[in-house]
Amino acid sequence: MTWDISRRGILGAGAGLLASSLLPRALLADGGTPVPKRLIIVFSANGTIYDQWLPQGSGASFTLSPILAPLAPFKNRLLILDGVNVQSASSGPGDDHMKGMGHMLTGIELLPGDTQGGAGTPAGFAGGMSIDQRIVADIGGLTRFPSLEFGVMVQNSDVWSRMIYAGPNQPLPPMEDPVAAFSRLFASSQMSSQAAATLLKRRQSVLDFAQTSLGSLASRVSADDAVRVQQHQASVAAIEKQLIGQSASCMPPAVPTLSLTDINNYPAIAKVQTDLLVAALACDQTRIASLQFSHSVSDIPMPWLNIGTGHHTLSHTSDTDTVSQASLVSINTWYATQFAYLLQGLDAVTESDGTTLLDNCMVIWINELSKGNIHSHQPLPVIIAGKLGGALNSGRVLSFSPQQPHNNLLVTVANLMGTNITTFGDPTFCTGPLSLA
Amino acid sequence: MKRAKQKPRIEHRIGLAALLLLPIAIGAACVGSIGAGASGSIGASASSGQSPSVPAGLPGAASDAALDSESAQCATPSPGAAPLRRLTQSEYNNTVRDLLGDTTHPADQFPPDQQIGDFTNTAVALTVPPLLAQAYQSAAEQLATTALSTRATPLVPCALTAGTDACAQSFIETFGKQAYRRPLTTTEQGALFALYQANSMGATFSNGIQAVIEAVLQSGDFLYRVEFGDASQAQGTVLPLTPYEMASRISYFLWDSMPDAVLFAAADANELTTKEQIATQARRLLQSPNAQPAVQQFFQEWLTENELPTASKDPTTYPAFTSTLHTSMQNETTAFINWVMWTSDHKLPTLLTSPVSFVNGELAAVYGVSGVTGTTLQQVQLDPTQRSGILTQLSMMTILGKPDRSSPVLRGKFVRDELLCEPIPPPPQSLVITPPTVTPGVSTREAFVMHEAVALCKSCHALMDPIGFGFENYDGIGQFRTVDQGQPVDATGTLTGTDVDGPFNNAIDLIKRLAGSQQVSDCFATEWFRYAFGRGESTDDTCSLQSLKGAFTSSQFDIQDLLVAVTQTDAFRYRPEVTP
Repeated sequence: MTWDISRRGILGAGAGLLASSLLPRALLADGGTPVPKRLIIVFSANGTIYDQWLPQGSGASFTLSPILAPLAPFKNRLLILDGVNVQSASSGPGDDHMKGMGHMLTGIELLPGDTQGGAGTPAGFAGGMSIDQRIVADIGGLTRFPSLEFGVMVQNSDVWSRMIYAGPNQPLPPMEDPVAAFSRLFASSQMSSQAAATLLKRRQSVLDFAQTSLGSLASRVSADDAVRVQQHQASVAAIEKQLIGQSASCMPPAVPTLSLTDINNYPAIAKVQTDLLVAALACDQTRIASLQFSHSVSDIPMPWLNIGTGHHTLSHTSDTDTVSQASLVSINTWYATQFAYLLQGLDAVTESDGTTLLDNCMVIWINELSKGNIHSHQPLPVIIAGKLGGALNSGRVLSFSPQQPHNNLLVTVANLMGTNITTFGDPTFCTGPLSLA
Repeated sequence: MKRAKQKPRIEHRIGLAALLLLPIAIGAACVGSIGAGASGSIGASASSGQSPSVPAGLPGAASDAALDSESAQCATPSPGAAPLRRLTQSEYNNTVRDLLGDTTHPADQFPPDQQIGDFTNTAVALTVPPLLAQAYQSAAEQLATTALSTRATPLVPCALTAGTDACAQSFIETFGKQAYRRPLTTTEQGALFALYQANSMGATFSNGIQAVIEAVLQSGDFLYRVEFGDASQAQGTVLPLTPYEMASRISYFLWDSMPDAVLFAAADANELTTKEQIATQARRLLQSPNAQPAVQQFFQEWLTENELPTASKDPTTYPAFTSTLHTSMQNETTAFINWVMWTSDHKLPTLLTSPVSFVNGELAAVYGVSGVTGTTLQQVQLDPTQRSGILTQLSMMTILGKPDRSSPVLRGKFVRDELLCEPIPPPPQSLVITPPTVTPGVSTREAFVMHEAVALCKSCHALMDPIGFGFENYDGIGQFRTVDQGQPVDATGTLTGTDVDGPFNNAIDLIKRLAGSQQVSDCFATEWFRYAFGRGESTDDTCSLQSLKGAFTSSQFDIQDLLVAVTQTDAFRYRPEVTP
């Protein structure tokens, strides 16, 4: 699939209701205004086989590892980070999977709660917002959706299964149904302009009413309850903003109807969710997105790889169990293939200045663990793909010695996206940004 | 499709290499936690590893021991916390069914309810992220469109083509009361009428009414179960509920839905005040078919049946585990629970021990029942020497099994956690934990014997594995077996740390002990308490829990009586004063 984000391309495809308001403002600028930066976070679970993941060599001179071999076409647009340590996960409630998942993008302890994991004390959800949402606070207002969260058979809704947080105890669920996601992003309208105007007015007045109703409720209930109602108010405010341009379309991909519980559909769902994510960015519906494969502790088998044992079960096998280790390499290589498919999709989109969407993205592939059978949080396997408009000095393996607390990575990501912060999450672990430029 | 909470099923075996590096002291994790009395006070030591800062309103905020040791002064009402509750998915579906006659289950398309703890209705977990707010908007638009195009009569008291302001006023008053589950204030009616005017002016009457329906369905008063209590009857900081609030409590507890006309009428007449009035309504609701899915929801979550649809098995090990068998297993358990609750004697021991079940052709083949063919479930007696109640059904053994073998750990842990209310403290962190893989010629029990050999493992696994071994006659999908990996199955064991300790020969024996346990019945009452109130118990709930457990015991463990008893507790009849 190739994309052409030109003014004519978008207008031609989306001549419906308020189509012109969907036009990406940065893309409208003829020259002068730089193409916007975008952030994508990709997650897969249960750690990796680190020595089969880490490339041979260092700096700009390296050979891709077996697991990362599918990324060969993008080798000069990769940063492979060796030595990131989720140090914040050394404390706080939760088992190692829960902490890995909840700390990964927040850099702060989980809240206490009553979800008992396989170890540790019981936990609630994460204790702070995730880094993407911190960036959203600065640039989310520029697009119809502040951010978009996509999931591939995430299925659960607990602390093991949530990585994006609007704030403490505010997990943001991913869109798991491609058909529903398509509808949310690209549903178009055949209405007359009169009917469309009536609809828009009704939606605005109804949401205003809901907002007022929730505001009244928040002022009357207890302080604890008010926190949740206020979050609800913020959510209504977010969808009020999305009313503009709701009916326009922008070259959406084909979306098949798939059973969302049949594990054999996992690859097909991954593909279509990736297509939708790429399309959403290509149409500038958002600049911040995530793609979550399954959930931490994912125990799915991969019958299409002839792997009948669950991923999590395999991840606990001994290092000397060569059959299981080979299966784990296959699984992680399969995820690398999905990551490559995403990069390929982004690279097929041509921006207004002739670069590709991938050139203007920072695509981070991250995991809740390093090594599954010991539940270690370091060294975390982290890959950053894309050039972010030249802000990333890519095509390198970066080894950190001593290891760097991952809060530093989170601060760095924010800074590169234009969010000027010096600490994020638990400031204890913020010792200074990394140099990725 | 309902996709609810699923705790990852995690087993542990600690690698020998790592063991050698461990400080000996860690081995004491479960020492001292055995020896519970009849009241389940073991919970105190089991929860001692929890964070001391568990906030009120979450399950686990208080241990049973603290509750029981408190000498209860139950003369003055003590309701415990009453956090604001957002409608759950099933509550939303049922409420729009009863409000608008819409049976499309729109909430099935919502993002799944966030989960903390055992149940999906924990109040503090039910937030509204943007994805859900947008789903509310889409659902409201669709519901309003459908209602006005197919059920305008009797919903709207005039023809849509002949609408007047007076008709709109009348609609707002009656529809608003149904949707907010209380009469609207004059200000609220005015705000909705203004919304109607803004959207009918220059458009149509119908468009104005549509706006009102959409707005009401996205309002705080509809989406949350709002309660402030009856301030005129305050006893210090404790307030009885208003009649309308009580009507909602009863109906959402027993029907997962809004009050019906009878409850509204009772509230209008201020007849939901005394214990007797409340009990009468509770009994009435329990006899309605609407109670069945609501009660079923509790059992599905308590038994973790919601994990079944996504359970994966290795087709080589379990060729019988087809997608149709997978579905049939779940239908069997649902039918059995309905039978226990509404056809049989609705008693907990029956749930745990009855050999009755409901099978179709393929289930019959697995159970070894002859004479049943086809896809329709039929009531049968299973072999009582092989099967006993809910725990030995295929669905439970499948959930509590691994993809390629049984799991003594998961099964034992389930009994401790969910039947005995004794959460097992987790193993120390950061160990090499490797589950035994299937080895030809080595039985599952043999593979797990390491837990007994190592003190560090034994301290906790002694609480789980022996119970789990009792279920070794059931493989990873619940098929009965007497041979495992060429070895004869050994399902014998000894129950310890309970009020019904002693040896057992197999699961039938073990379950018989559990079915006679006061600790199990008290635990079951406590689980219902958590589910009913969307929160964990606290020391403020001592009297409520005492009365609940007492009533359950007096009724010979009748679950219908238990549900009525929930409505008689302080926690149900009162709430704390709201201080914004």
